[in-house]
Amino acid sequence: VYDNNIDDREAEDILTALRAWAIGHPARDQPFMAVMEFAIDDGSPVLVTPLEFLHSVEDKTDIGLSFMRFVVSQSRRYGVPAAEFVYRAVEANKFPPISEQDR
Amino acid sequence: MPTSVLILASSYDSATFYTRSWAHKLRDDLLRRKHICLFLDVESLCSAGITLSGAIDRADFIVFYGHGTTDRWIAMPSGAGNPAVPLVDVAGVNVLKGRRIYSGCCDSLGPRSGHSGYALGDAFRNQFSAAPFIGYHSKFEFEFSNHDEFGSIVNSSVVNYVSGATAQQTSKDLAVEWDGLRHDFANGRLKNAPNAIMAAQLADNNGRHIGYVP
Repeated sequence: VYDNNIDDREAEDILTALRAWAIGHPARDQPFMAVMEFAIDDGSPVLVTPLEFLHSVEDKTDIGLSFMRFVVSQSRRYGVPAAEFVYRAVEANKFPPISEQDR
Repeated sequence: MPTSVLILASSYDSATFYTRSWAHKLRDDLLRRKHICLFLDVESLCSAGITLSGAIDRADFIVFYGHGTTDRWIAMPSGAGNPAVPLVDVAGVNVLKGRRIYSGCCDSLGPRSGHSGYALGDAFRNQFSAAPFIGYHSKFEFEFSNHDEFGSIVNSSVVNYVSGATAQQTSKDLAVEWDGLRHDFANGRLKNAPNAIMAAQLADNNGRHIGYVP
């Protein structure tokens, strides 16, 4: 059971899509999001790579679990299968922005 | 009559690299609107002998883009065994002199559920009971490949504030804007952008965490 409020099959579909997103990400080892927080212990801001993000969802950390719940909430809101939100991101990674294509 | 705005921005890591680019755009926008705008790189405040107090004397509004914790804005990160250097902290909040504050970083207002007593916003309110302070009750977050979308919303809210909106109205409007961006990324005009659903969640978080005092 991933989470009592999420259907197991739905959670597995999201995780499958998220693995495809992270592993196929063009910059999977580079931070893609920032939390403007200064960790008290080492003074480093929290920067998250796609692979770290995937692992946080797999491991049900606070970040991962809240993402999973958010995707499911958006699925209910828009009537879109939850995994589709992530597969859109997978597709987007196949077509980088024009500015990056030109490099 | 033009309003005078002091923008303070740091840029010493990949996150603040983006937020300083937002700050530059904000300055350009305010200048186009005939406001007076002072722009200071936070690092140079420490290294060039320019006093923060002297700059604040000349401002009606203070906008900070950078890293923050509950009790401080960060000027410089820790390194080589030395701790981070605060730009402003709760012990020195009087340096803000009751100016109108826009805190574009994490945690300045402390947790929404209950007052920590240590939050920068709380300390500011205790010193300057009538002066407004806009900030976040938790983390401020954004996604890099869509950073312009996040930056546009933050900058627009500063312009709204400087142009006369109250802190309450600015905060309320900003929450609506963050929810709009959540929608855009989740199932709207930006749904096919890179990392869109992740960006949607960060916009949603920002909308739930924005607030103000008093």
